[in-house]
Amino acid sequence: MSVIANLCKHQQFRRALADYRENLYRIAYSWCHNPALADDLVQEALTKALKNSGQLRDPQTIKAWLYRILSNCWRDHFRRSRDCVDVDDVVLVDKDTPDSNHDRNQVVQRVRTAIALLPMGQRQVISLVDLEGCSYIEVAQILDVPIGTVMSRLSRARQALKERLLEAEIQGDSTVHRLRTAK
Amino acid sequence: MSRDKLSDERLNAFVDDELDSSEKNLVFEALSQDDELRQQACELRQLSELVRHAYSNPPPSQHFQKRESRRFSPFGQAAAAALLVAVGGAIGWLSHEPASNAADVPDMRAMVWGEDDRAFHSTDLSSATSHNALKRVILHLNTSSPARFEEALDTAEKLLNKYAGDNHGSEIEVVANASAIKLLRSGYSPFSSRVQALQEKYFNLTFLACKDAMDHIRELEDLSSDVRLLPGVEVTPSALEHILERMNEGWVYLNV
Repeated sequence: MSVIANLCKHQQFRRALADYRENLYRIAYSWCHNPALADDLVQEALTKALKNSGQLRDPQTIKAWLYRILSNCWRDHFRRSRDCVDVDDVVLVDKDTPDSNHDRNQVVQRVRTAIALLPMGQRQVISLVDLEGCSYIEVAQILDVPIGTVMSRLSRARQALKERLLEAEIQGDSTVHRLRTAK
Repeated sequence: MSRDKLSDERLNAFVDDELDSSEKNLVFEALSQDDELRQQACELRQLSELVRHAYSNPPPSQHFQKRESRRFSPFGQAAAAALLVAVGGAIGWLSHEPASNAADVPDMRAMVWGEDDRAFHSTDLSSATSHNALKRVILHLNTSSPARFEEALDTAEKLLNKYAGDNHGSEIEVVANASAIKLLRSGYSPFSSRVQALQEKYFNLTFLACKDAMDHIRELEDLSSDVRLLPGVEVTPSALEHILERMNEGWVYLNV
């Protein structure tokens, strides 16, 4: 019967992984803004999680454990593609395409663009806090940084978003007005 | 706390509910005295909402469809349980013995776990229950058929009546998963009054609903809260695991 009990545990673990898959994908997408890459990262993270399931001693901490694996996968990906660059110092450039131009005025697109412009460290903190509702301590554990760093990154990230979104909104009003007048 | 003492980090921590109550008191006090600070806190909340809104529907993943991966789990468990019964039934059929029909217990195929040879055995209910020293039976339902449910309730009641005259320690559990959840669901089940009456009459009868199956219904119907069950119905995280545990403890399993 212990074989069956083990099978059940394993099945429960696989189910927990499946439950988190959507959340992991959302977070991965908020980090890279590329659906295919987000897919790959989640796939890689889940493969590692399955392989190292023995490392998870307390099933209650599975959430932080999975995000930590995802964060490591993302860091590895970054290191593979951009050797010798500290991810915290890198600012992703907004990719300007006809599609993104078309959607720019839409709220969702504007927020995603503003997030994409944040340094990676800040982007990870704000996505874990706001999208997944992680506590500051959990984020510190996931990203392996002191809690003070989490707080300062979050504060800087929101300050930058405020400047790009809330203050730009006021300036943007005049553009909208001119377009309507031209019509 | 004046504004110059309240750092941006602390205000963020306040918005994210990361402060303890004494710290929160100080921030509330500061907010009540400073319009600009209040405005700042509102903006932080607004930004938080904006971020959530921006990623509430990320572009669909190519490799993963949410419903597909979840869909099979509750039914898969039911299928696995049914398979156990089928295999047990086949073994039982091959080594068929004449059933000794005891009193009023219906002649149904049941299954028990044999500790000696560490294997499942198929047997008929009346002989299983007469040999079952613990007098514990778990009835499993995985279809929404009212007739089957009624049959399960009848069987449970007959067993409970049969055990009533014996010594203590008898226990019956009725476990529902997959579409059988409907029959324990408040507002849907045609058996609410009978379930309640049975629960009141027999303290050793327990009704259990599978949480996996409930989550599946919640997902399908896009409900904002958990599926509401009939009063007194308990929840088990996984029906199949619960059944296996019970069988391991020596309970007789019966798939209705």
